[in-house]
Amino acid sequence: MPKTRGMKIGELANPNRFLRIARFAIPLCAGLSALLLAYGFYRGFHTPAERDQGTVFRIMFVHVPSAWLALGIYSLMAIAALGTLVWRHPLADVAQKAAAPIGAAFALICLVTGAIWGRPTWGTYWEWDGRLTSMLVLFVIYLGIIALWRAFEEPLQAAKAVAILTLVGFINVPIVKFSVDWWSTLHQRASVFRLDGPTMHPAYLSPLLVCAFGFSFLFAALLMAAMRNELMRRRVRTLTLFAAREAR
Amino acid sequence: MAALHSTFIAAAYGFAGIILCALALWIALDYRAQKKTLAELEARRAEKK
Repeated sequence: MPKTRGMKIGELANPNRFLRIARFAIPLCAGLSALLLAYGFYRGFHTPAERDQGTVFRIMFVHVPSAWLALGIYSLMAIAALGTLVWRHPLADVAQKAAAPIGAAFALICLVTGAIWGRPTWGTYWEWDGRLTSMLVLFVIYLGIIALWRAFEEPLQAAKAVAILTLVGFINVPIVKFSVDWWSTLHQRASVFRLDGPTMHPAYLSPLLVCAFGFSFLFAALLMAAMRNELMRRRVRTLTLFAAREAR
Repeated sequence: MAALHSTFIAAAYGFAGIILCALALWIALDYRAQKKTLAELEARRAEKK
């Protein structure tokens, strides 16, 4: 029984198997993302203008999925950090390293599109309120993780240090999520992921969810492509070290 | 008012598009660079054998 289970985990953790899957999964996810985003934006731009905000609410279809992904990617990185420290999964640190710049990009998009949306609705680009500040902290943590990866020469040493930093930084994720409930902020409260169900009108909710799936497939394609690059980079490093040893 | 809103919408979508295209381009260029280096190293290794 343990042997069978061990074999299955080993098969899933096999980088060569991942590369074989990635070869067709990357274009598949990219294609699905393009279709879903095209349909979602089309639907989003053909909804009637919002009563209070007019047409500027349409920024929501890029701002909200970016915020969800910035938080979701960090949560995925925290699971990968556990994979590195506890289960020693050979692809965990590869996934974590590849996900960090993508998460940082979505956090930056969320911050900038939020600032652009804030100007016509709140009268300001920026306010130091709970949600905006905690999202900025999340972006800075992403940058810290990217910098820490680059500070180490040996990938396995870097993986352990980054995993610890990622798990420590995870405390900010619930702060971002619940900041609008804990503090009286300028940012509106959650209107989709609520215990009593979404409060958003279905005419706006359905294109928003389509866009969120579209961005999620884009993330999946970018993550697999970046993981493939990282595996190749490690192979290059191994071959270079091997060649240097042979030349001695 | 609608024209002003269109400017904000275009700025938000434009920024998101630029960041995501830059990210995809960076990953694609990195793939090309790694593939080229790997092919060179493997060819050199095969020559030695």
